Amino acid sequence: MSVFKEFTKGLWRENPVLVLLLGTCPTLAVSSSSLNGMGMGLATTFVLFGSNVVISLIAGIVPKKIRIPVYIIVIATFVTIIELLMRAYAPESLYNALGIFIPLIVVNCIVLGRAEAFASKNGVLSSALDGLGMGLGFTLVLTFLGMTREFLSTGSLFEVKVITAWNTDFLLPASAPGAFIIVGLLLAGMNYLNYRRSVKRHERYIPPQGLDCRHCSICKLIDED
Amino acid sequence: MLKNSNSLKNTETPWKLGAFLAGVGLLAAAALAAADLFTSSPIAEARKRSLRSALLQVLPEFDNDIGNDTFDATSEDGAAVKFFIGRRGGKVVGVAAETSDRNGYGGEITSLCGMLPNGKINLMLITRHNETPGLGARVCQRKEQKTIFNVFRPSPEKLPGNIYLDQFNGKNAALKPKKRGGDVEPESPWRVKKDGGDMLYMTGATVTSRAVSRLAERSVKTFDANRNRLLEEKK
Repeated sequence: MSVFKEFTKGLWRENPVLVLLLGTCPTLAVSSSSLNGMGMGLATTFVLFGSNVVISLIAGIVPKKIRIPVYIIVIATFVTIIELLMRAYAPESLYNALGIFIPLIVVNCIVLGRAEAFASKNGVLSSALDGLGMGLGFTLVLTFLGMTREFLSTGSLFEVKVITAWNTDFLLPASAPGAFIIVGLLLAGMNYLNYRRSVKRHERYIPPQGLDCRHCSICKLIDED
Repeated sequence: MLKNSNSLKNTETPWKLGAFLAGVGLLAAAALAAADLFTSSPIAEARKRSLRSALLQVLPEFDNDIGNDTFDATSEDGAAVKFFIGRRGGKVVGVAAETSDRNGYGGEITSLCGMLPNGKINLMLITRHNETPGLGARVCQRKEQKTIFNVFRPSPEKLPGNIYLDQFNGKNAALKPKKRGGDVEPESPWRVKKDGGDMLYMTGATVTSRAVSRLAERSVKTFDANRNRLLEEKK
C-alpha cells in the first residue's frame, strides 16, 4: 500500500470503531459531550502514535513468547506519560471529565490491536502513519458522536448553546442506552453508505474482509510454532 | 515491507525471558521517572492555582499565603474537614472549609464553603462531583451558560448564581428550624424539605441535594466547634 493509504485507511475504510469495531467501550462511555469526545480521541491518538512507533522499532528483538506483556508495558508507559501531561497542562474541567478514562486507554483494544496486528510486522514509517490514521479516525468518530449526543440532549455544541430556547435536558442521548442506540444507527448508516457507493460503481457490495476474530491475533496467545 | 517477526532466540529459557521482561520494565520505569520529574512542578502549580482561584471566589479579599495557612479538623460525624484561613493584615477575614461526602449520586462530592468570621456562609462552591448532567450537576454547578450570542464575550467576573447553593448564604451553625403549624416536631433545619428540614432540593436530584446540604451543615458546625482556634490572630 502506498504510504499515504496507510494513513487514510484509518479514517473511513478501516475505521477502528465503525469497521474494526475496536475500542467501543470508551466510544460509548466518553462521547457524551463534544469536548470530552475530542479530548479522549486526541489523547488516544498520542498513545497510538507513540506505541506504534516504539513497538515497530523493538518488534525485532522482543522474544515472541513475551511480546504481549512487553507491548502492554510500552502502552502503559505512554498512557501514564500522557496522564501526567494532562494533569499538568490541560484545563481542569477537561481533566476532571476524562480523569477516570485516561488510564483505561491501556486496555483500549485499538492500541493493543494495532500494535500486534500491524506495528509488530511493519516498518516505522508505516506504523507511525497507521497509528496516526487510526487515532484520527477514532477522534473523528468520538467527536461526531459527542456533538450528536450533546446537541440532542442539551442543544449545545462544545458547550455553546446553539438553540437558546432549549431549557430542559433530554437525558436519553447523553446516557448509556442512548449511546448504544446512536452508535448502532451510525454503524447502520455507514454500512448503507458503503453499499450505495458500490451500487453506484456497479460492483457487488462486499463487507470488509479479514477483520474478524480469527485474523486479529490478540487473543491468540498460543505459540504459532 | 514485512519484517520477519520470527525472533526465536537459541535458548529461550524462562530465565532469559524473565530477564528481558524485567529489563523492559526498568526502561519503562526510567521513562516514567523522567516524565514525573518533568511534570511534578507544573502539576503542583496547577493544583495551587485552581485552589487559589476557588478560595478567591468564596472568601472576601485576603492577602496571606492561604495555601499554607490551613487547619485540619474532624467533624462530629468523623469526616475530615480542611480549613483555609484568609487574613488581611494578620486579622481573619474569612475561613473556607473543604470537605467531601461519599454519598452523592455519582460518587464523591467535594465542597469548598467560604465562611465569614461570624460563622455565616459567604459562598459555597462544589469543587468536584460526578453527578448526572442536567440533574445532580444542576445542583452542583456554577457555570455561565454560553450561547451563540455571547460566546465571544469574556466571562463576567462574578460567579453565576445557583439557587441550591446560594440558599446557604448567610446561614451559620446557630440556624433554627422554621416554625410550622401543628405539633409536628421540626427536624434539623439542614435537612431537605421532604425530610422535614428547611432546605430546597431539586426534584429528581434528591440524593445530590441531600449530600450538598450535609456538606454545608458539616462546614458550619465544624467551624463552630473549632472557632477559637481558627479565629486566632497571627502576629
